[in-house]
Amino acid sequence: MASTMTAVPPGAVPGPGEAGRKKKRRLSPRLPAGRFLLPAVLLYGFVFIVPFIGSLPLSFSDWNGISRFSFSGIGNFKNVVTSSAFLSALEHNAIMVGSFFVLSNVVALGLALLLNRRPAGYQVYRTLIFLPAILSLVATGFIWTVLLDPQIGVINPLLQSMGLGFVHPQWLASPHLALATVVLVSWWQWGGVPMVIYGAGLKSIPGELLDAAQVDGAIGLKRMQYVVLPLLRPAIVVTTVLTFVTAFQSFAVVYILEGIEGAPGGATDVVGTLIYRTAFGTGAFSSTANLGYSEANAVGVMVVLAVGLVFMQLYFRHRIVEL
Amino acid sequence: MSTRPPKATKRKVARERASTTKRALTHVVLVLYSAFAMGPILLTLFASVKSEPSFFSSPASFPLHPYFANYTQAWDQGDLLPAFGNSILVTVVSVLVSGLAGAMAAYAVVRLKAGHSGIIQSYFLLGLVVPGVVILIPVFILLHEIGLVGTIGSVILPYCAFTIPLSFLIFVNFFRTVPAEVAEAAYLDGCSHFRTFWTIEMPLVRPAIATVAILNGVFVWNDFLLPLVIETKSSLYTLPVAIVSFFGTYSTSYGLVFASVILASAPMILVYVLLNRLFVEGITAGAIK
Repeated sequence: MASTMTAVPPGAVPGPGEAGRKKKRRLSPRLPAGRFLLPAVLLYGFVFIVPFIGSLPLSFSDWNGISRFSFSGIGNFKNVVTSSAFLSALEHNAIMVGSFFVLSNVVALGLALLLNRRPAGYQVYRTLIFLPAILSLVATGFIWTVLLDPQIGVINPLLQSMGLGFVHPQWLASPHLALATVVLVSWWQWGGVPMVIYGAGLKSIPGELLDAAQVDGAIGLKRMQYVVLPLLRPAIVVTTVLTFVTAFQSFAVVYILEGIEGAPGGATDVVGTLIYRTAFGTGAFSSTANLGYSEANAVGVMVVLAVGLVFMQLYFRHRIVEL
Repeated sequence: MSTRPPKATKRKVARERASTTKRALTHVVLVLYSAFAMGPILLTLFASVKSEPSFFSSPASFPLHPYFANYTQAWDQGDLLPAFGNSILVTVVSVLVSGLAGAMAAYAVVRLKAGHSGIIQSYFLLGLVVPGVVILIPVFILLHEIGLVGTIGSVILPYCAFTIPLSFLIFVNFFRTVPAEVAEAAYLDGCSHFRTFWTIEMPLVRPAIATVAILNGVFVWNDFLLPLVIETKSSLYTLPVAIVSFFGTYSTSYGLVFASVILASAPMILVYVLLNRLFVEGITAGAIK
């Protein structure tokens, strides 16, 4: 449990006894590393890196996909940073990151701690709780559209039968509630992932260590604070990074529940739907399409992501306890 | 322990009673959350075997008289057969190609001591953090330029590439756990580099193969954004796009829509139930090692 995700310098660690002796018979003087790397580097480079870098100039143009390509300076970026659509979409993504972070570290961690007590049938619980994570977001969107529908739905009649009929929430149509609903539905689908990551983290904490802590008087919340959480840091780091990246990937749930406009009135618009809509318009290649401006939005998102990830890297770097 | 004084026994009983309450509470919480996770799926399953009138009269009840016609109708009218074909083809090809390419690249970095390994890792890592929507338009333009738009290749090629970073990182983690001496011995016995990789080391990292296949398979099978843009005609639709387009046509026939949702999700659910432990371990293998 030395590393988190990456950043361990590769290359085999010398085994015992071979440190001083210069290895004569290593694999071969000239290793064909290049030939082994080539397929992945080329395929991924051609389809991912090249378009990614090649598209950056697009953000300095107002190309709509059909017109002649011409540069228009940094006008797009000026528009992006002052655009209320971009900022509000970004804000919605930030709210998602924050909610997912809290849910991960309260709900998912709580469930993982309960499962870690190994109650009878814990594998069944884990299987059931994790199951939505393998469903497609499209399926998730459909299921919840119907469940939450105020007319035919299931949730509101259920509330009614519990004597809460007067609440009658407009889950998807109320501007105050819609984003929370999107977060809840996304969490329903994704929440199993942080749970199993925390489960694996807890499993890797040696039992003797916990016993020793108990002998030293660390029980209950104290043990949690001083022993379990510090040892769980790698899992917390992974979950936080995943949360961040996942929340910025958000698209399908909003698209199915609220449409490409992020209804009601843009209350659920996220950068995913915004970039898609700016690029392709609300219909297929409609007149509102503006690839150049859409790319400028995409670059803006990349900058936010990069800053966020660098910040996280700096924050977490010195806070990992190694066993 | 019969020699214990009665005072300790009393304390022990109290502690046991407390732990019984604790255990019961654990089960209560887990049952409630399981119900939250599974409820919507069960309701979907119920709704998928209800005729329209019976769905509207009681959408949440258990179907006492299942109406399976929804399934045959959804299958026929939703053109699900070609969509299944496309989804299976796209998923299988991209999982195989990216698995092999990713494993070879990881082998080069871990075992063959490729230079600049830090740069290589950052190069692949970029693919995991760039959101799909950012890369969507440039990739569409590329596919257009090379004349693939309108063919199934336009869906297969991006998935082969987009799944490489995850394959690479997971195989790197697993190859590190295999001692280098294994490959050295094989090489000294006259095994070529590729044969050493393929017949000696790959079988040793079988859990990595399962992990990569599961994670990438679930992603490709379920992905919606890329095909939404790239699958320009209905004969290319993969399942997520096919059921969204089906929903557009039959938006009020909930039985039909839910039958199509269940049909599209069934293969993954089946694999998940059968290979449950591999799934859970797979998710964490990429994250914590």
